[in-house]
Amino acid sequence: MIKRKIRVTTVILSAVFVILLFCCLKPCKTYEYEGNRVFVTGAEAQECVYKGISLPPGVYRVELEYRTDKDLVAYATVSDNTVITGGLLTNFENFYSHLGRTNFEIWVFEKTDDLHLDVHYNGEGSLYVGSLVIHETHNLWTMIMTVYLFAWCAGFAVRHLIRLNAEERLSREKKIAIFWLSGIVLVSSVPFLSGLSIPAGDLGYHLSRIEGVKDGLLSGQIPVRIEPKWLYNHGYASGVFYCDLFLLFPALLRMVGFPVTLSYNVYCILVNIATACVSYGCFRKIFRGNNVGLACSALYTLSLNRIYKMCEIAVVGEYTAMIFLPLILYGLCKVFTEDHKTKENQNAWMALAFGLAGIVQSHVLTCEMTAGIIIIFCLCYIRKIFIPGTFLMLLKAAVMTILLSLWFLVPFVDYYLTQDIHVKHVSGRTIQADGLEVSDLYVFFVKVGRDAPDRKAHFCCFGGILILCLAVFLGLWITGCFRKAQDKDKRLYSFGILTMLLGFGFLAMSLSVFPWDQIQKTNALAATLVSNLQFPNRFLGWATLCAVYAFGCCVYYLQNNARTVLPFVWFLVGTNVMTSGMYLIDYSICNTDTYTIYNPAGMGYGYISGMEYLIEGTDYDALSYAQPRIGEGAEVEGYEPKCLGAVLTCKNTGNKASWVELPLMLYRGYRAKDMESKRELEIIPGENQEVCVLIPQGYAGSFRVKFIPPWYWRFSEIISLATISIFIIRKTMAFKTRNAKA
Amino acid sequence: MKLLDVSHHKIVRLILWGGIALAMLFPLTRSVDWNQVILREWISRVEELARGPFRLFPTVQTYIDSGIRDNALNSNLFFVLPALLLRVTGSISMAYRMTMFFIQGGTIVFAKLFFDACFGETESWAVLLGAFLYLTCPYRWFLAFSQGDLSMLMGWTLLPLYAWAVLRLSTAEKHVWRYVILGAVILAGIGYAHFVLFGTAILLTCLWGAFGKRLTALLLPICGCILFMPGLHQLWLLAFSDRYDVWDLVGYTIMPKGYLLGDYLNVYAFRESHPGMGLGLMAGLGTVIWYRFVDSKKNDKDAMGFFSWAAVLLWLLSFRVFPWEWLQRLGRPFLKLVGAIGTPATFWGLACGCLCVPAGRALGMLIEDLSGKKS
Repeated sequence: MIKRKIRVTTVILSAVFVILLFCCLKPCKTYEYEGNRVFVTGAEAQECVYKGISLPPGVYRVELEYRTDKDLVAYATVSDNTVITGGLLTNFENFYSHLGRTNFEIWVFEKTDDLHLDVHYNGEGSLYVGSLVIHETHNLWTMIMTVYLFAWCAGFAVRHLIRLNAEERLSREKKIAIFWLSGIVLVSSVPFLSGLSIPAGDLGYHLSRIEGVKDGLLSGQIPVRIEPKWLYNHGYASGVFYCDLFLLFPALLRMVGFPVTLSYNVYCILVNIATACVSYGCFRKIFRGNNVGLACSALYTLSLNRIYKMCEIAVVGEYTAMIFLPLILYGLCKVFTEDHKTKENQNAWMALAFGLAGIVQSHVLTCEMTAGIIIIFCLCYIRKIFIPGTFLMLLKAAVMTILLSLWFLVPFVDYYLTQDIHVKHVSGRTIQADGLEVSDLYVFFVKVGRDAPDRKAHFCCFGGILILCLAVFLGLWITGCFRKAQDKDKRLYSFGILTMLLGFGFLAMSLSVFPWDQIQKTNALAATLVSNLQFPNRFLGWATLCAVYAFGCCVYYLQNNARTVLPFVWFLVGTNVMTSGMYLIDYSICNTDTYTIYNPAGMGYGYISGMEYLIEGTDYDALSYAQPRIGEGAEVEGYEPKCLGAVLTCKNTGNKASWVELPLMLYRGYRAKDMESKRELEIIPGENQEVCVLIPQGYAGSFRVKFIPPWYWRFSEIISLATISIFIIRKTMAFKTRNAKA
Repeated sequence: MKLLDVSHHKIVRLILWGGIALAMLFPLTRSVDWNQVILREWISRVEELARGPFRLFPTVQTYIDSGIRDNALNSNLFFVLPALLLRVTGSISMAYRMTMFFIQGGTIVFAKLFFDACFGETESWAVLLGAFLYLTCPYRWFLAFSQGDLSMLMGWTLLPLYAWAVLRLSTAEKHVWRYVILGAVILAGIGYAHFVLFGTAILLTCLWGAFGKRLTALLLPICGCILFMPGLHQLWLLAFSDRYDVWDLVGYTIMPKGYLLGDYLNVYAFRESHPGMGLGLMAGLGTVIWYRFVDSKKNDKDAMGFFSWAAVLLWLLSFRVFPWEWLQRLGRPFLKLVGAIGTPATFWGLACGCLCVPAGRALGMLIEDLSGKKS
């Protein structure tokens, strides 16, 4: 009976899947509307240029033809008062003089017969609005398909869990872990469950990164090194310097058709899940206890520093890297405190390798700090390093990290050494003034948003409970409580002492009283390293981890020596999480103005934050959508822009070599080739560091400009891919062998 | 694990009840924020009644003068007391505080009555904690001290009493008509306080009666509607006449005022008049899930299951994506009736009220377990 039920359910679900697949593949329609409207210069206007548009539910691309002689004098928006609330989702798109047509998406969830297209004009410059073309896309069906597949998988997982529970094959310990981890993830994800964006510091930049990855993938660039539409189609090499690996997922959601804010919010929820699970797994294994693992996970995932970085300043790279920090600590702890011959310890190098690789590929600055911390640990445990087993494990970890990250490191080092980018010229940037005050470290209820006191721009917080953890551990150590412990526990506590000292050290380094300015003045390398840090609060991530480790040690000690105090400890953790952490979470979303971005036009393509990866000497304010500039004697008969390239038909009728300057940022890798003879044309830097192709005298023909990654970039990608593939295959085979033996 | 040996200490519970009562009444000792949105409506209605004559429903002019459309269809019945107090004392502040005193005091008494009927004498901690959760429900406090919506608050006071009557009716073997009449009177009272609560109470009563095959419970909505006939007449006028067109409910949509997913989980702050479930309910629901999932304890009381499902239904009604606008398209009467609901947030408040039942029971069981008693 049950099997029949399962069969029927599977058939129905599969049939729905096939229908959805068919809908994803059916031809798309195009709706064309003729019209023209000339706006009177000097008179501000808001006019409905098209109305009564009928559309069935779907996701559409709106192309409105226009001509203007100035940028940002008008914008187009779509509205409809007849559909249900939430039945039409879109933002506006600005008009640019060299663009000529809009290209923004609208989501229509209910059939409409009265869609309006309005143009808002500020009266400056000239404006002509022409025909309208609305292209249907498959995105509605791909979105539904994605949700359907997710629901199918989630339903299957839940059903499996219920069955295991009913058959009493799910241990109580696992159920407790599932319960508390779900609670931690739910609480930490509250700001991302409302479909809104908090206007956090770096959010615009990271949303642009996600869009860039999406555009790059759609243009065939795998992996995405230069985001093609960024900087008004000039291209921005953010992907070379700031790894986009983990942004693949939200970019895929964007490709499937989900709006920008939703894709980002889903990514944040996944980061919360990963952080909670990884930290739980690591601390559970370090302290050999389910409860202590859960408590450490709660303290870490719901730490003020992490919540602040996710919600208030949206430093995507940093909070993504925080997923992997516990892996590093776990790996170091296992390598330096346990016998390397034990089975558990033999795999400790993998935690180090994947942790480091994850950090390298999320946030390079965190990687720099982590590398320094690993060096400190190695120096403190220098005698252990010379044990062959330990040395081998560290070596394996290092090699694996490099192999896994090679695909990112090679282009990064290549461009860093060969490109004159802006970030290499900011060593004069000082950071001490952005440090915290001492009181900021033990704040309990953090006021953010409209109620925030007048703080420095890059305030962050740590939390009193974590200071207490460090202090209690210090107290236990000073009073000699750890002396009576067994050998294996003593090694754990010794590691904890080093971690505690590092924790206090990081806290000190995050303060404004720490002499960063003096350190910067010592030499050029110090100046560069300090300047690269940007903000002293970057040390709070590691400080949080050290404090949580100290907490774990305290609980481990109490479990073995004073169990009666444990309920008080759990109460303290719970109180901290439910007050301090949740207070900040609630105020982050509730005490500020929020917005929702549906399509990238709503945020534009020009914002690049601190311009770190711009070629030095570029005048950022002069960048906009543009047509090619032509030198004397050259004539362009045809111009077809492409992603990170173009096809031009031109001739040089002058008596000397001429040039054509394209609106593309000149990063190394652009090549120009004649399409018939395949002869390469020389490329030099243009006036604003743009691609400038030299046209020889007498040249007549078509040439293509294209960004071609160097061969060694491709080679590094193959190595990384091969490394991870071999690892997965070996692990799968080992798993199957173990199962067969069992 | 015997962590708290308080289960047999009645005095502890008495002290806690006293503490709850003090906490409920404490805000009345502070200065009143007369800028609360709906309090202005309350003041104009009380002043109109104090001037006389008594009108069961306020004049349209009163609403136009106060500038507030909310609660337009609620009666003046529960404004009689404050109007009398205003006439006697001459002070609107005194009238307000004494009215709130009766409301808060009444809610404590009726909540205890209901949870006693729900859990019985053997689960005293469940009664205490369930009542505590109900009394401290964030939405109820929002109504009381942020919105100043005393009409809705009066409804919240009568709802536990009505639920008590329904429970008694369902289990009574003798004097059934006593509970029918009592329940109908209370239901009508809820209607005269706030018509949205009246409609919700009728809906839940019908579901309780239909799904539990307790046909006697279905008598309550019938008798309640008879007693609430003047109010139903006002609703009729709203839906089918142009008497209330001055409020321009045509085209008024309530969907944008619905809750987003994250709004339900707020504790310390909230957006757009959407208070979340608060710490107490969150802890209670967590305990419910713990017992169900980790300890595999099954529910053995009908009321637990019913209130849980009622909360789910009400939660759905409060969600921003619930298609109220599709309902409004069914015709002009629906357009106006749905618009008159004001905000779907009301349903979330009621959902929180329903959740107090399973949450209170779970927390009570937790206290018993920590005290070493088997539950």
